[in-house]
Amino acid sequence: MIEYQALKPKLSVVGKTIDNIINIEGLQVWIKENHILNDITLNIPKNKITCIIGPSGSGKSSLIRSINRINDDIDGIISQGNINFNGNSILDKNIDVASLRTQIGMVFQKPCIFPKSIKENVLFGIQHLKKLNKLEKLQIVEDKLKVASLWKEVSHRLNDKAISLSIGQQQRLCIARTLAVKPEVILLDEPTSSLDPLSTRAIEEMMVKLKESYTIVFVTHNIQQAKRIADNLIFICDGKVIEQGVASELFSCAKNSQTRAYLKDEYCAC
Amino acid sequence: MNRQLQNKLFTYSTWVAVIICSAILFFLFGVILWNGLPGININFITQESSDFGASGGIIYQIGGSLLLVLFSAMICLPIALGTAIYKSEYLKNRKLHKIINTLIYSLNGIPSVIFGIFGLILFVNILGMGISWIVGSIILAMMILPTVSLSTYHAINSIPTVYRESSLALGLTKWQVISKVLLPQGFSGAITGLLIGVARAIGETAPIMFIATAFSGVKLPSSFSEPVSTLPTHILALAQQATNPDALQNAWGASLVLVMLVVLFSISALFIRLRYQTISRR
Repeated sequence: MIEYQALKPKLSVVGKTIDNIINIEGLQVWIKENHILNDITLNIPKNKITCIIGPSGSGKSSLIRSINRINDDIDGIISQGNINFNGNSILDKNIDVASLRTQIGMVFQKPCIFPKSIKENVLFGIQHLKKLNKLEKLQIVEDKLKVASLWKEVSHRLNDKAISLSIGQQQRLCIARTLAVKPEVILLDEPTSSLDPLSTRAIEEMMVKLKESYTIVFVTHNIQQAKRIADNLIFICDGKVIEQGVASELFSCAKNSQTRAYLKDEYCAC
Repeated sequence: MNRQLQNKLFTYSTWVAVIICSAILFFLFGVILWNGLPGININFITQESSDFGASGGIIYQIGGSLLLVLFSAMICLPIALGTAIYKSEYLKNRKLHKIINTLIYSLNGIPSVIFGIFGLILFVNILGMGISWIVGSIILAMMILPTVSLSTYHAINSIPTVYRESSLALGLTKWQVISKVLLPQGFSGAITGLLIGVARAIGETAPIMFIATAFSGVKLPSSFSEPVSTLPTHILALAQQATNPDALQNAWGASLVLVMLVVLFSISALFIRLRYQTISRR
């Protein structure tokens, strides 16, 4: 098994030195006969929010699901190309996928709460990795719920069933649970699509705070949301990267006409 | 015929079907209750039988039946769980999935007497295990395996994929996902299937009468190689003495106890199923 090391490759992009934590080169993904991702090449900079935008069915989710290899279980999936995380190829057959996923965490579109208490949900991932005493457990629960802006709301009822929380709170609990495993990268697959505007804003604010310590990859089809939080932007259409770059630059003067059309009218003529 | 009349006719015909089905069940249960209840008392439940069952009670028949189904459940459950987990979590080949399903459904359709003959040839004659309760338990386990396996498979397979993916995304291995997430949530489905299987097994006569039971004169076994007396075979033996009113009365009493045990297992299965569905909906 290959253990990951912090090699931190530095790539020079447009005259600036940027720490890229993930580099994807020529990624191709098929599910049976369907060519889902076609020659994807992109970089994910460290401690930034990278938003992946694109129309429904363009391959956004398939792309981030390739990064932590959660796609592996899909029947008939074939991945080719290269995905480097901290300098190691994660598509290598010999890697410890479970270990990889502790370093590249993921939050899904709909909050998935285990039928356990709030406290047990936060500890669910970490307690399978190492033994913790009662004090350590409580400390982790408090720390992660505070980071996820949920502590004030649930501190008095940590032993209540997590299912009693609102959908927005459940999603923040899922983020706290992911943070407890101490990943370097957090992949979020449209995490606010089922939330009300207030909960959405709470998660967006949390992401902006989290980028100091984590690399965030955020899939959204909401262009306004991308505008609010993205440092970097990747536009995907029909399984191909159409354009990528610094978000503010792309929003003001995208080079590609398809990108301009999508950012303006959310219309894609790929 | 206009559409509204058609609709009404269809609705009423389903009601008639339900009434016929319920009436048969209530009639059967009523007859057994009517004839069996006068013969049931504390002595009948706690005493051993004598005079070839025409007098005394059915304590060893109850014990023998419960012993057989308890061990058959213990043998069946791990195999059923393993089969269900393999089909649900590891088997990606759809053709192989269909072949295994066909085999399991076929196993469910085999007449119970064939299981008895199979047990007699393989375990009693070829392997020399003799007529013993453990052979009966093995055969009953084989009989209820499809029910338990399919029930467990459906319980595990109906757990939303997002639970699997959320657990994997936290760094759990596949085995940890199965043991910490899927089995706890699917276990009630397995137990439901097991109780339905046990409810069927406890009433079986044909598969065990050649291989596991003695019709009279046995108590609870002290080793694996001894036969037992069971409620169905006891009822069969008493029914053959139909001219003796005492034997007939005891046959009705034993039938009522057997039906009560079947109902008990079925209601338990229903209770667990309802509770399981409530958890799934949360």
